[in-house]
Amino acid sequence: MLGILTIAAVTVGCGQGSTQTGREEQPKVNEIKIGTILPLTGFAAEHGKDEQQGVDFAIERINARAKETGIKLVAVHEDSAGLPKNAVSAMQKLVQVDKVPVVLIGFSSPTLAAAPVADATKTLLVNAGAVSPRLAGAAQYLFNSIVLQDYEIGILMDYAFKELGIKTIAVIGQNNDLGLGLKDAVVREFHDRLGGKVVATEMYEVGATDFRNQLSKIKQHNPDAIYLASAGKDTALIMKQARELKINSQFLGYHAIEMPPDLMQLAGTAANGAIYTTGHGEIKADFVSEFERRFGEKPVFTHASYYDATNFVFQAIQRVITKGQPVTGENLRQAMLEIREFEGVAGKVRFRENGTVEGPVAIKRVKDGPKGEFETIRTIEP
Amino acid sequence: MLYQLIINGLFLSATYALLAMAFNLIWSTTKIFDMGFGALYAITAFVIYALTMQLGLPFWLAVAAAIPVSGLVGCICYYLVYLPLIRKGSSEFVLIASSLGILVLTQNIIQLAIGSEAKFIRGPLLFNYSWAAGNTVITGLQLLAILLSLACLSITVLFLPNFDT
Repeated sequence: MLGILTIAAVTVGCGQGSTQTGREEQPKVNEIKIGTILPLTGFAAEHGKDEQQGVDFAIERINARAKETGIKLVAVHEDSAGLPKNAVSAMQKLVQVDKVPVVLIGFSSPTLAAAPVADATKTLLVNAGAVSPRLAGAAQYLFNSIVLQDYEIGILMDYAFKELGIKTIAVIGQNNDLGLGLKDAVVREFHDRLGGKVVATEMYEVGATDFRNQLSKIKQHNPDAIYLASAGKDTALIMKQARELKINSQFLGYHAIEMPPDLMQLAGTAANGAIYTTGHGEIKADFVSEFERRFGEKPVFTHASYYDATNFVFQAIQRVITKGQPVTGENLRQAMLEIREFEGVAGKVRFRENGTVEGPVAIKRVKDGPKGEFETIRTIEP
Repeated sequence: MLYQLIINGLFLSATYALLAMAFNLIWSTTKIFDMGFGALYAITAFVIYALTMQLGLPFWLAVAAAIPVSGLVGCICYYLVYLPLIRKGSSEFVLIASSLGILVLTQNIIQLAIGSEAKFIRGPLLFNYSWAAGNTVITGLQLLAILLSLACLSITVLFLPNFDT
């Protein structure tokens, strides 16, 4: 429904643009459509909302400069609901009906499902939120502008084992590419490489809201730390229910722990003290204040990541247009590899040949969840 | 460990038992397989959310207000959707399909009004308080859910007359 409304609005908008250029001597503004496939509803809706906000905010600011740059971006938003099959049909629709050269996407399983379609249709697929290690090199046209978890988990496990003295760990996570990919990475880093003990791995089906059985089983082993291979509200609920069950283990995780205040409230004080990694460094202060002024709340990492990805895509589009080439997925992919290093509000990243990035990794701690206070313990440059 | 699993199970099944009893009340009396029933369950929760978090009413007042509201929604569904269809002599399948329509409609109304992300209701402090006996822990919310569910089920059974069906 929303998709139909968006297309109708875009069509009307295109019509308006063409009548205006007839009247005055206006510099030609290229209107480029980009697609997005984000979990706007369903179990990952919390992340989807942030991702869409990041993209829309970036497009707002890019379009404000449209007169100088000559490029205007129009987003066609599709809802994956976090499910692979929706992502595939959304991808096909965006390519065949909207004819977009580039699609921004999020969440591991949908991204992995859409990747072959990207290769087949030569559409650039940019992931700025999914972190499963399985994404590395999954498709030629899949670019991950976010550091994947195999690298981040290695850093977190080092910190936990060597500096926090954590010797036993349990993993609780989603039973999909994200959770299983993270679990494998934790086992590989903590157990195989560092020699710690993974005492329990409990998986749950996505959509579950009660994790007490898995947590009760984990409590039996009394681990020093619990790694949260989850996303969205699951993370907040797991932390809350664990503390209710009187589990005192240290919570470890990745950027899904850093959520906007109304979601941190779900966890309440249970989240305080949780240590996690984010795939980029500290978010730039002027972005934080601009975002706060526009939306009334501080941005979290997800906002910044999708804001950056939209800007990276914009830079590639600029390069392709300056070279006088048509804006196709193939040319955009080439342009991204040529530009190679991008500077975003969440730090600098450098693309590898297989479409993954190396960038700074920050180890952060939740100071006061409901107030939205997070502190950075350390930033590690590549 | 076993006791913890039993408590977890009792808590999860408390709501399901109530839902099953309520569904049965509808089914055994009217023979309508009401798929919109789940929507009613959701609407009650979101009404409580709207009253406590958005309007700032105290928790128990919101709960007391939400119960007649959901009853009212059920009435509206019946008078607007089911009754006209029954009067026209529709088969059961038509009623089931229309109840599916009610479910989808309610889902979308809730999404429009409140959004699709998870929402948080601040309950009384008692909910978060937990009691521990050895390794087994039970929270105020779990205890209340189990007790209330048992109470409601008993009262319903007591007041249900015996039908010969």
